[in-house]
Amino acid sequence: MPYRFEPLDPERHDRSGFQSSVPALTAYLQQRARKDAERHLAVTFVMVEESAPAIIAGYYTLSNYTVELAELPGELTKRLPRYPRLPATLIGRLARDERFPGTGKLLLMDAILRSYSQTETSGSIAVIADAKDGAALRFYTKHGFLRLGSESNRVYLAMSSIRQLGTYPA
Amino acid sequence: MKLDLYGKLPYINFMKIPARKLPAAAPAARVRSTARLEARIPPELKEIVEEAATIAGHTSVTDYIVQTLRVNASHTVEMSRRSRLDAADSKAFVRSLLTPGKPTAALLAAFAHYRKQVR
Repeated sequence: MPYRFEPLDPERHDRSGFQSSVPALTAYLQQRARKDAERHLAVTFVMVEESAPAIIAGYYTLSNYTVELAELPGELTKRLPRYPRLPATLIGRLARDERFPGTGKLLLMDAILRSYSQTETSGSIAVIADAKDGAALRFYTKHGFLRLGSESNRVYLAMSSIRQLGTYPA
Repeated sequence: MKLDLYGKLPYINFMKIPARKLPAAAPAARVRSTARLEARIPPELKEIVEEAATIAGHTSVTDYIVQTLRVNASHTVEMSRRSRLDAADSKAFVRSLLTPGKPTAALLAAFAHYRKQVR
């Protein structure tokens, strides 16, 4: 069943029917997603089946993120944009409906590709995500994400890694 | 407003024709300088909060709560938008940006799957 991705539109997408296994992620879509979009804090993209475009199979949010670096030798930093505060893209939330198992990687892939495509208009050196638990951490590391700092549960995938996907044949 | 129907819509004068309601004038936009937030807390927590407010030099518990909430909430929001790396983590991070790893097998599989499933 083919899917497509669209920016959340409360007029067309049924938020009330969405059911994630994580209550906070269900509540976010139903209660906060639109407010955050209005305040330009985070944009929500939803995944729908082409045959049932009102039913939200999953969603994710993107927002701007900053990675602040400690002082580093010049030869390491001269190729970095806006050192020591590097712009990045945060996948703040990512959730699928319980009735759509196995679609998490489609959500992740769209988030990654969309973030990459936006680097043409706004600088971003990596996609950042929150690994809230062990399962999430395994999910992200399996797809090539690395730990962002030894203390945090955030992970990242460099834009330069994503760019390489374009060199692989379909 | 009364509708004069004579000669226009005959034989319906047994129906009740309500006077057309004009929309009420929109109330002047109210500017709210405060909002209300309520929380039920255990009595022992209330005692601790009151004690802490005194220690922190606040004459009113409300002042203390507002101040504490402001600092804590701003910090939580701010930290959700940025990370600060120490020297060792910064170096490792920058190195990996400059010499990126190849996509993993799972990422390539997800990419292929995506291209089949998503229009």
